[in-house]
Amino acid sequence: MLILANDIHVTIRAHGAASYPNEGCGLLLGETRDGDTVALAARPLPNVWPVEAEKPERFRIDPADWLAVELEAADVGLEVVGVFHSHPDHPPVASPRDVAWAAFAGYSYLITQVVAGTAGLSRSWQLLPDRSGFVEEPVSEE
Amino acid sequence: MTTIRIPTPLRPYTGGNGAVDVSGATVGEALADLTRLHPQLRAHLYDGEALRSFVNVYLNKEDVRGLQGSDTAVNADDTLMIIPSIAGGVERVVDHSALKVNQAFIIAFLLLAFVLNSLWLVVFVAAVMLLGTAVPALSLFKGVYSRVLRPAGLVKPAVTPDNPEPHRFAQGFGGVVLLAAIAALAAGATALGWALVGVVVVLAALNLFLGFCAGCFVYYQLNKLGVPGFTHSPLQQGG
Repeated sequence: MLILANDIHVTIRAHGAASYPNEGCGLLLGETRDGDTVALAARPLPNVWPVEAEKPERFRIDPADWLAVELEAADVGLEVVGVFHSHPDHPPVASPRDVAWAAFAGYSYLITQVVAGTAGLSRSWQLLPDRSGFVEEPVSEE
Repeated sequence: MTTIRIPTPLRPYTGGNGAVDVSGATVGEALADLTRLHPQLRAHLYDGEALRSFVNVYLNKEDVRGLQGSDTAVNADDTLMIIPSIAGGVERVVDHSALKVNQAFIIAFLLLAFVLNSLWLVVFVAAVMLLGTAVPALSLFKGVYSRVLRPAGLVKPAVTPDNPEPHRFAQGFGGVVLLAAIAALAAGATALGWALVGVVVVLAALNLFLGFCAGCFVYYQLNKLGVPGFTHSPLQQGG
């Protein structure tokens, strides 16, 4: 299960809406607690997909940005526990492309639907250990 | 010893350790020592002999790809970090069954128009094609597919990763050729008019039977030339 604490869903939804019509993305910082992922902070990051016209359908996080967030998190005793991105005008379902370009299994992959600039539902996914696909995990807010 | 920082999801494979001290004079040797100490990591970091495409190794905040890669020298007080690249996004897909049904209708109606010598049937097909290009939701023949043929199980969907825009352009291009044909037929240039109709039939048949979309080819050539509005390049596999 992915637990979104400290109203970070507000931050995530606002970033998705502000990025519209492009995909917005970022990292979830937090900790693992009794097998659940607890996201305590969200760090929006630039979508560095190289082709501007494709940003409504694609995102990429610069590993240099990831490194900076990883170090920042470590300084305050947190870890990178997941990745979030928005799907403008598409359902918040992990796509084959998300599978192909995902990172390690074990991160939460939170996807927020944004319709006509308004953020909607978020759903979270876990990559299967053999990288064959995503399974949904429950999301709760605390 | 050099320290390698381990990303959170890989810590179950290092006994929960967020950092592992390894020996080795280069990045490659250090990583080899890491997977020797924790063999389960190997499948997550490597695809065969090479690091997985999304795995980046940073030496003291610098990507080793910009240094000497796996041959980059490491010292005892260095820290290596494993940082993933991540990308993704919604899938661009096209239902090729819808396109084929559309092409089949276009060919059938245009052949019928020729046999019946009916200018109005050509006008009808041109209107359907141009309307479907302008407002894809109003595409009549694709509507027959999505509302009748597919629900009835008569045509199975064939949804594959593809850009819809080139197919839309191809249909619009065909519609414009038909407009020229209509002008020629109306002006009495019968041979030219039916020849232009024939061009549309042949191009649609090439697409239907051989899977070659001439309009898409033109679209991608214009994309390559950087013509504004032709923003989508052919879909790439992988990263």
